[in-house]
Amino acid sequence: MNTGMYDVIIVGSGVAGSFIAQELCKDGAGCLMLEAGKRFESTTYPRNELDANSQLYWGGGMEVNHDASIVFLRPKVVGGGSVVNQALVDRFDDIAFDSWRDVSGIGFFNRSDMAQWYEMAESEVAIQEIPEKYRNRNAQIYQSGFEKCGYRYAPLRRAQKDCRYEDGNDCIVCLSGCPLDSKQSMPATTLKRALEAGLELVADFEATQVEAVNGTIRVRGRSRAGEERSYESGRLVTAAGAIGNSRLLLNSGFDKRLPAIGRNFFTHPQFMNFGIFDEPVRSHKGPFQSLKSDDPNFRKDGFKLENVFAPPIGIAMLVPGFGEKHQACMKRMDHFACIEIAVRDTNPGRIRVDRRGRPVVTKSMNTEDRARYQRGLTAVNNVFRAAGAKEIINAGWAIGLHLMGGCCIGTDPARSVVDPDFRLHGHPNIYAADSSIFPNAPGINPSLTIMALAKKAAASIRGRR
Amino acid sequence: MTSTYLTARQLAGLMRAGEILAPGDADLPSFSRLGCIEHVDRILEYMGDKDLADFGSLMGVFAWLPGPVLRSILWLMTKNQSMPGSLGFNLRMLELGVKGVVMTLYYSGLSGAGFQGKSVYDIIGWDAKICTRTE
Repeated sequence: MNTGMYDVIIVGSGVAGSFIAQELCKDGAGCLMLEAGKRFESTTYPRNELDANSQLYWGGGMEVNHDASIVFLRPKVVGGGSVVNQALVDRFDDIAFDSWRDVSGIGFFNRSDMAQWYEMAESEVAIQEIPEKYRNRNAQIYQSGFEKCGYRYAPLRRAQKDCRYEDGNDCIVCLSGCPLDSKQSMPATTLKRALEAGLELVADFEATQVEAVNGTIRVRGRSRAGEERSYESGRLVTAAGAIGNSRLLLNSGFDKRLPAIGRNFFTHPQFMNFGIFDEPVRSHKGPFQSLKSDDPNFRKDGFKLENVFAPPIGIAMLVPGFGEKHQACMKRMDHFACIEIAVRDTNPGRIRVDRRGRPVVTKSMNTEDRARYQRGLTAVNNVFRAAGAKEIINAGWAIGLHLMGGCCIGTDPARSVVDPDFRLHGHPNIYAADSSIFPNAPGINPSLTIMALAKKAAASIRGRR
Repeated sequence: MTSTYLTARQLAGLMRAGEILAPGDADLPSFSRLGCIEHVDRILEYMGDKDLADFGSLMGVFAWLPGPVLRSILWLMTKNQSMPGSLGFNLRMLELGVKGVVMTLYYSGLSGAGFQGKSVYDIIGWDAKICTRTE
């Protein structure tokens, strides 16, 4: 079934898709957004962790790489990663941009040129630091351990407002969608404004193939119920993330002219660690993440430490083993403090598709990545010991939360997919502007930079700049 | 109980794995006594076709394996982190699939219709909440 012609089709409703949709719809463009995941309201997000894992992630949150050593948490919901993330918004530093400029050959990757786009992005969402009086015990342990070890830390900037901590609210609940719309996820901010400006949104519809014929784009796909449909437009924005964009373009045969599709995939592999204390920590209470590592030596050593926690199912998966010993450990879960190591990975992975068109991701940590992890592990253990932990659990699973690359931006069509105007090389009507265009792993939370790049991409698409 | 996605034999296999992974103690109920398996379809409904078929087949095998053999397989499953090659891959997939489903059910805060006792959430001290404006 063919269902009409639009000015622009946007595949993916995450941060980039929503920001671009807002800009284009405000400009009067007839936009259609296609999203494979479900649409929820703040009152209907799944409140049970079991349902959240099943309904908000591809593969129930259990997608893995080629050797099942990295678990990918790939959002599948209207609003994408902004619904399930921890809403951390940091600008990139010189280290990240210098590296991107070197790899991509693109001059605007510097703090000065990107400043205007960051400012525009920051104006779209409320950004706060957690007041010191609301920091929970997990944060206090993190702070104490860092101070005793002489490591530098800083308050996190979070995209949130009116979280009403005085009411006893626990932000960890918002990992499966914020019931207050306090977290500045896309359905509460830019996507909402795009819809008000006329965006048409089709949820539960997976785009499976793209054709570009005589200036017209046709996107084919199927609904969750299995109904096949196609939509047509003058332009296409692929904003389905690193794996989603690569999969769509590979299944559509674009790799014949763009051999870099699917290459240079990075994840910031993350490893959770628990310090067990005599007194209750109750890491899940209040604003569960308020501090970050800000140590130049950590940055040089290729890792950062995040002050996080997870709900019970996640913790149960990460605590090694099973049986009585495992259950005895879980009964002390409210005595767990938690620090996560995020590695700035250097070994590029590759996304391919199998005979049925499903993504297959080859990605591993090389010697340098493992050394970075080990340096992070040493720092975590130092912090926990200094803070008085009686026992330390280093969970073995690597988790990929920041899925980046696969459609890298660059000047060379042989080594990149997207040009400096965010168009696919040789395809002037097809754009990509989300984390899939990252040339490598920045080692910094990507959300704010995705927003800034989406702003810049939208300007390019509108042709105003 | 019945499931849309698993046969009675496959459910029995899952129950056996659950009893080994979450046997219960003086405070926590066993996997079978908790009755959380009644909610398994809430997970399986969203599992991919191939994963679902593989999981069902595995549970069918678990149903008839001798207890010590099943216990040994599950023990081996957790010793996978540094294991290379296809054995390491399969053991890690086994852990994600089996431990994943069992722990998801057990630590979901859900229980069977007939369960009476303190909830798992209460025992482990999990009480995260958000007060909406209407509460």
